[in-house]
Amino acid sequence: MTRPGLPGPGPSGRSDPARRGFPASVLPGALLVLAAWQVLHLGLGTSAVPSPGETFATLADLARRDLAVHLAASLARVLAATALQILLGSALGIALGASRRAEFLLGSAVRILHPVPKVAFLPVFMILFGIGDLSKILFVAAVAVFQTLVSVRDGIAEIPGRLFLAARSLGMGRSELLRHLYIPAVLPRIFTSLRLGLGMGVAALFFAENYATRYGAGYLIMNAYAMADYRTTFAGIAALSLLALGLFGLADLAERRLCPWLRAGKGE
Amino acid sequence: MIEARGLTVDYPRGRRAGRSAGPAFDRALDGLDLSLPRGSSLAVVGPSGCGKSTLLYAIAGLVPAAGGSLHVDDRPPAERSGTALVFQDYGLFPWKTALQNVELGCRGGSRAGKEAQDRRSRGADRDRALSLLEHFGVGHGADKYPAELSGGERQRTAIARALAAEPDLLLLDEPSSSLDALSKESFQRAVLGLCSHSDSPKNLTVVLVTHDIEEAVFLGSSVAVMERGRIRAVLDNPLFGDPSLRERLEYYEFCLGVRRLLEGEP
Repeated sequence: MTRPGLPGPGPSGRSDPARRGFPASVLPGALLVLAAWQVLHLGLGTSAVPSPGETFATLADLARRDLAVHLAASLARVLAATALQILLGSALGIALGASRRAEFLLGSAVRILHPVPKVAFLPVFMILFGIGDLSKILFVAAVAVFQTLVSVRDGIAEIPGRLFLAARSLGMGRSELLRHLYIPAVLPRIFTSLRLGLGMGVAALFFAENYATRYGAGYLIMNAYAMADYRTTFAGIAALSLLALGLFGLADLAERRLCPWLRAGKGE
Repeated sequence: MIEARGLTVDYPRGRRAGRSAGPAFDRALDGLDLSLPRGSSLAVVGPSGCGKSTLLYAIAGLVPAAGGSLHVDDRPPAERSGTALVFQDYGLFPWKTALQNVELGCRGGSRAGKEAQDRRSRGADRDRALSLLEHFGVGHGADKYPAELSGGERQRTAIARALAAEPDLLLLDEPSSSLDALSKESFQRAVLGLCSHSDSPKNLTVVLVTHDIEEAVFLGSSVAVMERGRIRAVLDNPLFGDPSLRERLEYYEFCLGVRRLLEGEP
């Protein structure tokens, strides 16, 4: 279903960027962002907004020094937190969606806790889990986990009734239901929540890395900011953004591999 | 094979339709009587909402009886294995290929089939699933997802999945309601092959629900007319089993008789 010259709405238009592959699909957007950034830099005329050129020169300079250490620290924290987010969020979400008893016991607690600004609890996390990596990882996971939990729970509720009947008529037991019905049914939602959670998680991580650490992109950024080194600040922001962008790309790739049926029947 | 006496099925009002079956009727079956011998094929016709699908779900053990009795081979339906159900909208898992869907039938199938499943290797399941798909003319689509198959191919995949469990009772819910005319006829010939035992070693019993009178007369060794949760009449079908039935005048006369019954004439 390719309609050359008709990049309008509809499934073929929507899947276009994905078909061109990850780097090519972000190119126009990247150019737009860089252009706007340059305009902003020139228009504002303040050292607080360095130009893209200056920023990336500083980034290259940082890369020769300790950037890798900071990024690796942030990456490790984000990956650990994301793993927790997915595992815990999916398990709880499936339990809430599939079991009336779990929904009765925990459903209202989730509804109460979901809108609470978890970010405000950073001090509590540091008191409970120490000032090291553990508290940061748990903190980021706690911020992001509701994304997965709520979308998985809703995903279970949206499984068509006929599939439950089909599963029952095929004589599926609990573990088979989980494997053949619940998990594949919510897998696309897990990926959506992964993307949303990554955005929130990186922001939470930046916040957490302002305290009690000397490694991490968040530390790098705020430390430079405190010393009015705006070029390094922006270079850190750019590095953190590129890191997040890479993680988004990985999530897309994993979704294409693990959910091949999503592209089925769309002429691809 | 199937014995129902005064069978009543209620759906609690307001129950979430997703978890249970069908729409939230109060009383879907209301004192239904039915007796069906092994090896026969019963076609149930009736207007929408008369309880046709509920009858199938009850026979499959998917909805409990609120009153009366229902036995399949002298056992409550839910405790029995060997019943396979093909859903109106196929009930294929969209995240599994046609082949994987049929393989699920091979392994799940029946509660008693678990041991057999352990003994059989996965490769054997796969081979069996593939040969079933080929038998129903969907061999070329084995690795496609349901969304990539035509309506007729999905329907035949669903039947292959149901038969993979080697059932002795096959339930079909509006099997051809969304098929085009040609797919419908090829599907009906395939089912007739199953009904008339030529290639079913286990003496398959078939119950099919349809709103299509001609299909009912083509596929049913007897035709039951349903109305408001009860069976109004069961007609023996002397014409059953003739693949060229549609060329005979008696066929249309019989169809007309069923139609009159449906329209409420005595």
